[in-house]
Amino acid sequence: MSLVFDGKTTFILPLTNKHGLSKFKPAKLLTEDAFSFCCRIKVNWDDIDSERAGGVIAFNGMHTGIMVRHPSKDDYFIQADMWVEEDGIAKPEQVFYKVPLDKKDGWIDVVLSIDQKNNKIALRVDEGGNVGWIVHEVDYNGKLVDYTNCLLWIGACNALSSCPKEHRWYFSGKIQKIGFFTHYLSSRHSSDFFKENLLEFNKTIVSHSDMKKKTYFKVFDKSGNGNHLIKYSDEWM
Amino acid sequence: MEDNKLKGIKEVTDFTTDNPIYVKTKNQLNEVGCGMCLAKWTQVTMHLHLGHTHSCHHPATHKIPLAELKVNPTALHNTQFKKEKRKEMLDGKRPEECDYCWNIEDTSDRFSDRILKSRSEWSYPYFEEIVKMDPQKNYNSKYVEVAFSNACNFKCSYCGPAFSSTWMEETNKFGGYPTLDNFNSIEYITNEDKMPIPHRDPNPYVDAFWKWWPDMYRDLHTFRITGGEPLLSKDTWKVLDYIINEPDPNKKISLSINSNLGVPDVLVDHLIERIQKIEDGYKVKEFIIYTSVDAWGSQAEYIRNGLEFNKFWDNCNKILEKCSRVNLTFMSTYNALSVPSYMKFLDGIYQLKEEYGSSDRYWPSATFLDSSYLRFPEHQTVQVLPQMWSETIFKQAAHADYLGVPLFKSEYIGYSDVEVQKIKRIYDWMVSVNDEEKLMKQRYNFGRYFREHDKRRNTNFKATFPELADFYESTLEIVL
Repeated sequence: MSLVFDGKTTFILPLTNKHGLSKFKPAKLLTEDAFSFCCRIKVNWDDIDSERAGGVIAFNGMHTGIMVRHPSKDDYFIQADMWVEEDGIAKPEQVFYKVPLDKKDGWIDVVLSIDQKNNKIALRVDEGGNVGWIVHEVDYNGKLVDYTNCLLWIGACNALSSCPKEHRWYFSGKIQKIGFFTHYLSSRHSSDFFKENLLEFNKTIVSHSDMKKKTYFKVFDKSGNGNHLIKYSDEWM
Repeated sequence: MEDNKLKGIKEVTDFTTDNPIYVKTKNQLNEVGCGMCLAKWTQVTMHLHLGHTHSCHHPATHKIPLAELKVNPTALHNTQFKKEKRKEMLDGKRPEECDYCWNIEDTSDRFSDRILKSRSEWSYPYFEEIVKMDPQKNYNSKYVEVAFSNACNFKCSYCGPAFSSTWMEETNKFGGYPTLDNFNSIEYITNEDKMPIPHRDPNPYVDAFWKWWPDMYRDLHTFRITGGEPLLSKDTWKVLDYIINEPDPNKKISLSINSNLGVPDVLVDHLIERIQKIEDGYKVKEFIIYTSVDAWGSQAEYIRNGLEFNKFWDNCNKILEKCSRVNLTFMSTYNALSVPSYMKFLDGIYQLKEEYGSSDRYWPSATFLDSSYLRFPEHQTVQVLPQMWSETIFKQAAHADYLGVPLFKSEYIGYSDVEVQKIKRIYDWMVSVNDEEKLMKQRYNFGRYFREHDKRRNTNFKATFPELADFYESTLEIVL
């Protein structure tokens, strides 16, 4: 079971629950020392605009999150963006992983981890071959820009009606697993997540979507924290 | 405790404290007087089998003097007592009987029901008219609730003889329960001056109602029949037939009936027939059936003695299937015995929403769930349970949230914000308990009450609520 994204469908993970029913507010992703986004994706590369990225999981504004990019024939990338502010100037830190041609149409496991205490970003990718986790880890200077009034999108970088279409950066493809943690995941941790071995994450799991359990509006959060993904409509903002 | 780091995160606007419409209403009311509330004029609940009345439902009921009724049938609402309270409001005083709202206003920045009710569409349009009128004058209320009799075939565990003839029979036979407060004893009813008039006896309050009805009917915004079980009262059928046969009906009425939907089939069929005539004839603005159930299956049957759950559920389906416009609201008096099976109940209601939701209905969502926590009798409230059960209630609220709609629009199928929030409030209330001494007495009463219940009614608490069996045993061991 997976969520299908066709350039129209998107979801949001609200940072707070309006009924006070979130046991572990997603807003903590921004306030704890570290956080990670995890997803298993299959990309419909033909629908990814060569000029823009496709947002898999991202905060809107200056997009921080996981994206895919297909700038030219035979170039297929998984991309992690993080916007930082240093001396009052915002700038992007970017990490890329080039997907091998023979792996591009399969399921790819992706983890973005940001360590706000030690200023590290890691993009971990496992494209299902024999190589295992391929890690790109970089240091950065500055501070993550303020996302406290932003939305955390799944399937776009910003699908608000106020955002021009060309800046929405829709993802096209499928997402089979989605997880959020206040934890800087190692490769072993990343494997554990995709194997659903979550014992070590009791205190840091924010949301873990259950693709088998959905309503018309929501995807169930099986972490028990009540942080369900909400299908996006302009009216719900 | 709220994490300080999270304070900057944008929260959804809290409409219970800063809704501009209510702010304006509050200011307007306060210009008249700090205790002004339109509901004292526009809303009434009349317990005709007891001869009691109150406006709104927060103040205690008071007896309607028969002498007043003889010359003025509207004294069912316009008692001299109530007129004095209205005068106090217009004179800038706060009537003592309305302390429910004063407590809220004095201890928080939330809007009290004084504001919410005064702003409602059955109150606010009459603001000018009311503040200018002589408080001694009679006023036709717009929102009327009436109970004609206490005839009821159920004896719900938290109810009593004042509202159920079956309870009255049991009390007459066995007396009160062996709790510290001698729950539901005849003495309690007598002290409160709430001895019901038997439903087969002449009732001057019902006679007065029918004298007032043709005039009242014209001004009604909302009319709701409660009980007892209204379908066992001939006056309920008389009201429905009046509306059906009225050549010039008041089409702006929101009509509703509370029913346990556990009456004989023939009465349910009669109700369906009447609903269909009212629906097809466009006789009212909307028609809502309110029914009550507080748990699922055999646990619901235990709480509401007399209920056959499957039969009840069939009746709910039958009404929704045969009546294409009516809505069904489940009033759930969430109590200690509701906790173990409420999750299943939430799924059941959601299924009804999915199956019968339709834009043809008065409200597209076929069913609504109104979960209110039981406050009395105290020995059966959720607060008597060990705190570990609060976690279960939290999960139920979270489950309703998952089955909810992100934004309330009547065409969306799912639980609305209000439905979710009301379950969350039960959790909030449960965890707010802090008086250990009082709690021990309530637990003592819990054990004594249900032990006697099993004896009198041939029920089995431990078999019906295996999840609560240990707790029940522990309450029987309490020595005060």
